[in-house]
Amino acid sequence: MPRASGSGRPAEQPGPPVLYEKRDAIAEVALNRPHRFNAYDTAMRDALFEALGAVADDPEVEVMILYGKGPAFSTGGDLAEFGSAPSAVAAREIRWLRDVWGRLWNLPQLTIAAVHGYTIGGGLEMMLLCDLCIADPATRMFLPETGRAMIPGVAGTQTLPRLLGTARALDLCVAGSELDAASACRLGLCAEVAPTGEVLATARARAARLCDLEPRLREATKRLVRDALDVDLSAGLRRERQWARAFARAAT
Amino acid sequence: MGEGVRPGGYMSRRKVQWTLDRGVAAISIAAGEGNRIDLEVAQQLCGVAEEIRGDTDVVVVSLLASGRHFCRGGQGGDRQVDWSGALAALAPPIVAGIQGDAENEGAELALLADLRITTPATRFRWAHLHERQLPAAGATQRLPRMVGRMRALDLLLSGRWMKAEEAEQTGLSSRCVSRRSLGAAVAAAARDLAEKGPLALRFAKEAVLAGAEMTFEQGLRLEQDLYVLLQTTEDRREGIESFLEKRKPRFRGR
Repeated sequence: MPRASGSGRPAEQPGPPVLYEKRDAIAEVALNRPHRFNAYDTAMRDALFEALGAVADDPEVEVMILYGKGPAFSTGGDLAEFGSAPSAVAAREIRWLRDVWGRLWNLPQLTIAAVHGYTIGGGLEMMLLCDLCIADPATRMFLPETGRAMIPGVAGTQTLPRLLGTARALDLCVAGSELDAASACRLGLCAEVAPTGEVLATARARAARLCDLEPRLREATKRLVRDALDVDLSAGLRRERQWARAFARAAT
Repeated sequence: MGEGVRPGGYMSRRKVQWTLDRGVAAISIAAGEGNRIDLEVAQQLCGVAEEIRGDTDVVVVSLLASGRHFCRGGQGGDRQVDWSGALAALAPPIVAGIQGDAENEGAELALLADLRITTPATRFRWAHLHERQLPAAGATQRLPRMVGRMRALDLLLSGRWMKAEEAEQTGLSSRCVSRRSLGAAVAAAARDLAEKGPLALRFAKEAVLAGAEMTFEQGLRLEQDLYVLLQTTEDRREGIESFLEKRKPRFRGR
């Protein structure tokens, strides 16, 4: 994994670890530990938890963009901090007490990951928890965990088989195989590969178009699609029909 | 691990053999032209799987078949023993090299691997229906989970060949190499995996395969429990220390 030392990157934390900005109906959440390739430590995870909470509670926000400041989207958990949890039991308790990934997954708004550079480990998994992804052509995606005697812990073992099937998911989660932006796009992990350096601008344009959709239809579609694989087909179809009828009635 | 090559229980003149070398259990099938899974091969596959399962030194399993074709199907008797269940029960990841034809039971055998390396002439087909049989080694269940429902039905109903290119596009093949280098490519892939955390490899495989049978929320719980369980291992500490010290890790599977 990359290190930032000596690369001319800022050596220290430039302000808060997560930046939150609202432009009209679009919330932009930026990972901001560029000197650490946006690896997240406890402080950053807590800040992200707060920022996502602000998004969830803001009825004006229709789309959220998640992106990374500096040379990378994110390299996942900061290994410098690993092993500092008092015990595995305590770590497990904290994980579910402040469920930052659950909060990202369950946002009612549409979420777009705008990724570039290293998007690996927990960083790639964060991207997979979003609804859409826009990638820079030079994005590098892989899950290095098993090489460090760990497994992915930000839902990657669950999102990937549901997106790509078990064969390719095993390749990524067990063997740590790498994907570039073009293959990720071909496989359906990315909606679009942006021109070099324009990933955020492309995500903003996409977000603006999504804001044109009727908000309740957008949210209903998001929920129907993501729950589709967790219910049997007839139950899913029934739900779709009920919701469609309800919307039709409300429209007349 | 770390000791030299040691022969597994099934020795020469067996159609299915295995050896253990630095964490890699290498299974080789040499059952004559087409490597058909007859009763004898089926029983030996079960025996080998059983032995590997009981060997805690095994980190990765590799699977190679000799000759022009990986495996061109069963021969009736194979339905009497559950060879596919025995291989599916292996916790370590399985890397298989698939050359030539992988047909019917042979194509089902290929689906039991976690990573498949193919050659340009490799082709798969599940044509059981055209031989008036229903697949019995998992094709109707594993195929849709791997390539999606529609493609699975297309393959099973038509019995058509899936060539190397389509296998790569659908993720059934992780990599395509020349026939000559297949053995070396499988060995290298197995060795790469064997450098990783032995328990992490097993748990990652379990999280993906078992998690796929649950709702997303249940799967998350499984992943998290396995993740946290790994936090209690010596290897995990070694994984972090070696990263911070910028050196290669040395894992011991505990």
